Amino acid sequence: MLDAVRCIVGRDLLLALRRRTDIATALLFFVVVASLFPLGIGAEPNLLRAIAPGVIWVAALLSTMLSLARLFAADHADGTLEQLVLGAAPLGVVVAAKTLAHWLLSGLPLVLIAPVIALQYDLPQPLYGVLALSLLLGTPVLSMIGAIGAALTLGIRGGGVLLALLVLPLYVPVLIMGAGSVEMAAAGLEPGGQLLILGALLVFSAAFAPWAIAAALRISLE
Amino acid sequence: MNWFIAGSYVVTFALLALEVVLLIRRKRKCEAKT
Amino acid sequence: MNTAVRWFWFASPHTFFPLAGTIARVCAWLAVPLALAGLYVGFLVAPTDAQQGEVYRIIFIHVPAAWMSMFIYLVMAFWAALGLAFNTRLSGMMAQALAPTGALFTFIALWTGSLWGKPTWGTYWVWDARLTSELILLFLYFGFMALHASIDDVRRADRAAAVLAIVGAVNVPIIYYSVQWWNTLHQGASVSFTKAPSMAATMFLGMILMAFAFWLYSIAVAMVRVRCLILERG
Repeated sequence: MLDAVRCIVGRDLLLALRRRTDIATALLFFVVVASLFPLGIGAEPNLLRAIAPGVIWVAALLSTMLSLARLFAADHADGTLEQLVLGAAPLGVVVAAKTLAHWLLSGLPLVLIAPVIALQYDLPQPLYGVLALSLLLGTPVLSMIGAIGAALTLGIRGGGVLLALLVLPLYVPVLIMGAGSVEMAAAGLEPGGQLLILGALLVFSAAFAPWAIAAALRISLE
Repeated sequence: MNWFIAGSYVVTFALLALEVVLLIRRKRKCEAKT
Repeated sequence: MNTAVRWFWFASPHTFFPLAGTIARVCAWLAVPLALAGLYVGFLVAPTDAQQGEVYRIIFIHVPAAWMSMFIYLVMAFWAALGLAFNTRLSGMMAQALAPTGALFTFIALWTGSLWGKPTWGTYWVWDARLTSELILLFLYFGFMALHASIDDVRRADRAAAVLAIVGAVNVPIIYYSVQWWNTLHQGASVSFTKAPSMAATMFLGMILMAFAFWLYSIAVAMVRVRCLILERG
């Protein structure tokens, strides 16, 4: 089973490295969106500091959503996906591996770039840790919930926008807890509660999302 | 006349009636086909 | 007939069709007097509220509609799950039949909530826990209907929407809790649209009557709609 995971993650990473621009554009989108808000609202430092956690988190949501289309599309197009569904490895493990690879390529870079955005918003230095941790816990959840949506909308024309409509309401708890943890820390309070809830969401989705993604894939491919 | 009460009740029952009307039209259409 | 067959007797669209018609008729005929009774109690029996005056009477629509919006979603998810588990066509049709009514009640809850808020607390919208959760519930309904409409193959559409409904149903308590937490933290104004006046018994009676009326209405509408679906799908 671990062999299957290693194989699939390795393959997805290798394929992604051959098309580095895809990852880069998603990251660039993240940075661009976060840069739009000061342009729209005005660069008042106190205001920016206040909205920073929310803006960074919303940008992370949108960026993850944009990259979700890539999750199954390429494999679906060349028939690999059917092979994976019919193959020997349990489909739940396969989709978990693909989602892990997806997170490594689109979620983890967000965690690493977020401090740069935080710098733009003049977020106080001590909060960088909480921000990074909240994103580290939250982005895998976004990948997993998003993967359910991606599997459900596989091959549908206009699927990208539909995917957004389906998945964004489900993202709300992650957004609230993620941004909330940083805001708590900014107010001088303990962010531990929200971070623990994020952790719980992570564990919960890791346990149940693979089932839903696998079920959705089978439905979409039959 | 409290416009808020009126606005609530009128819109609510209008929408429910609209749903019923549209449903009956749909019913007539599909029953006519069979 | 042994018990196993009896459970699935009405799972055939063909046998369910006449039953649905009967249920629709009965529920429709019950819904109307209940609604009239509810409105009577709501407007002519329940007293004027000490703080909110007459305008509180909107709750006789707002609260039952909100209850229905959540209840219908759960029932929809239930039928969806049943359809996935037993691969019965009719279950998927039931879920599809319920969705528009559920979405309608969600909208009514939001609309009446908004109109209640303006005279009582001075604003048409407030990001309080219940209204925000209702708004997200509306998005979940729309997502369900949009996904179903986007897939050409009806059986695939039923199953895909079913997965979505189940995922949504699991998420609804999580969403509600997180929005409630978010609301207590960001309590700018100490306003909660959910503060109904302290319930006199007659007020509660009015709400319950309207709730039952809405419930029977929903069943009747869903039954007619599922009959249409049975005919349309052949």
